Amino acid sequence: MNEQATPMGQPIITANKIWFKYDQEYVLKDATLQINRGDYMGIIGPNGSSKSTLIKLILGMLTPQNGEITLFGQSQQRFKDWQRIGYVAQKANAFNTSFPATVKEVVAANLFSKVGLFKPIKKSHLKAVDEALDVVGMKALKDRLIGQLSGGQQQKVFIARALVSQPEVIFLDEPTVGIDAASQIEFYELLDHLNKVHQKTIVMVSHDIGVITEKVSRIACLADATIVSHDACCAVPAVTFLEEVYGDHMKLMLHNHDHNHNHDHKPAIVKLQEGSDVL
Amino acid sequence: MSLFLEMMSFEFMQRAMLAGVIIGLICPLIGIFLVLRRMSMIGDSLSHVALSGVAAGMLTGTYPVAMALIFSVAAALAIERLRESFEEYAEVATAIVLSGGIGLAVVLISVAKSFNASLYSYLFGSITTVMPQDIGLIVALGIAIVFAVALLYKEMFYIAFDDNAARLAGVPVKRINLVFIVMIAATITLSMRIVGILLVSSLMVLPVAAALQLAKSFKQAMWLSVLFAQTSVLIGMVMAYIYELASGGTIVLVAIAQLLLVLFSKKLQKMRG
Repeated sequence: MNEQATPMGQPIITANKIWFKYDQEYVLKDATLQINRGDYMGIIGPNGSSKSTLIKLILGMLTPQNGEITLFGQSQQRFKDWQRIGYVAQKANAFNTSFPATVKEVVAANLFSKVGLFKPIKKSHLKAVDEALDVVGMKALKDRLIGQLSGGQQQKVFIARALVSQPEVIFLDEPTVGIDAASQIEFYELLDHLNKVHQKTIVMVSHDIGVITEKVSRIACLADATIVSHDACCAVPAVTFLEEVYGDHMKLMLHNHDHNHNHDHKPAIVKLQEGSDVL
Repeated sequence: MSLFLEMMSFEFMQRAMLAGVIIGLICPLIGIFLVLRRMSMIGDSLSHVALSGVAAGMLTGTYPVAMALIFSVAAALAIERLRESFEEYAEVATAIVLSGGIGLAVVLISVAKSFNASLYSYLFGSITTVMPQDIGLIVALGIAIVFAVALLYKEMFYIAFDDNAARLAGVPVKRINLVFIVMIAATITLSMRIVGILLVSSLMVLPVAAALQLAKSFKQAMWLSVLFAQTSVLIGMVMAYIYELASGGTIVLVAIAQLLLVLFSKKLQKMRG
């Protein structure tokens, strides 16, 4: 197991005053985010609000022009312990579906940090693969080719792949895109289970505020290239706040929300007001 | 059987067979990663550069295979560099090296006025021209490549499936890519004696294409690729011996026949439900 020095509720990952631009214009300005151990955090914001960028910065796939990121108390540049962090990328299931790999092979690949360079994966390592697949309920399909599974099943395999190196925190970037509604509900239940039972810290990027506000325990909102954080949310009434975050997109969002989830006609704004523990 | 014994009694044929078995092993081992990473064009590029190496060797009177190895490894490193400059259009790097290689080859060949039988054998492969010094190089580098693939198997699999995730898991993707592209260059150079420069990339692609139709796992795909490559090389070389043909052509035609057979039997199976 990993050393778990950080007690629950204490910060494990911080992004402090981050400035980042791809070209001319800054897409993140002075953004600050704190992730605590045990969080089930949702990062929301309209399309193009740099949610994924923020995750990629935290994971070191991009480098900020300004600001500091610390992971488990270490500066990100010096951080080596990447097995403590799991990542399920946006469109992780958009791989080449004719790639001849079994579920087991895909999950086992992420044992790299446990096994080490040049060394072969041994039988003893494969126990961890079985366990990870068991958690996501995919053990029975471990010998199937990954390309033959449904989108929802594939996404679970990618969660298992992240789990296999026993990370403490898992980042998910729009994990439910392209997955049918029933599988989405199951998927969120799985994340809930991982958070509550397996005590994984979960950080999920989503533009689906309706679902996310129901499920998560903390929310960070991105708007105008900066984070209107969890704490700041409390200060503003939900309606103004959402208008602030989503601006003109809000009406469109609500329409989509009703359209896609017609099992529940309550608009998202009401939910946000009701779920005051969320805001 | 007597034909086989007769064939194997020739020393040149023993050399060709040994070289063939090794080539039939390394081409699919490298080829499977090449195909799955959609980098098949790199094989073509590097083989054209190898041709300019052969021409340079003939011009300067040095060992052409060694020159081809030096040229193609240098080109491999150049592609890897260019791929970084043209991140969004990585295939541009391949195209640049391909045209550079063929341009240089044509110039060197015309300077040396050396479009002769020897060059022909490099282009299309030949079982009669594998020299003892070729065998030394093919065996040594061939074993090194098999060894490297075995050592880097799980890393190369992870990179092929999802290079971003591999990077995040701590796999030294950049360094392994560098080793990989040098291995491609070496494989091409070693194989050109038997398969020929113009056909070497087919031996990296065709057996893999057939294997992908049948494989139920990555490991299986790898072994099936090796199996298909071995049968193409061996049948192809025997045919080249009997009918006195260029071995590159016969090997590749057998590989294509094999692929069609696999596709056909798969279709038949589907129709039967």
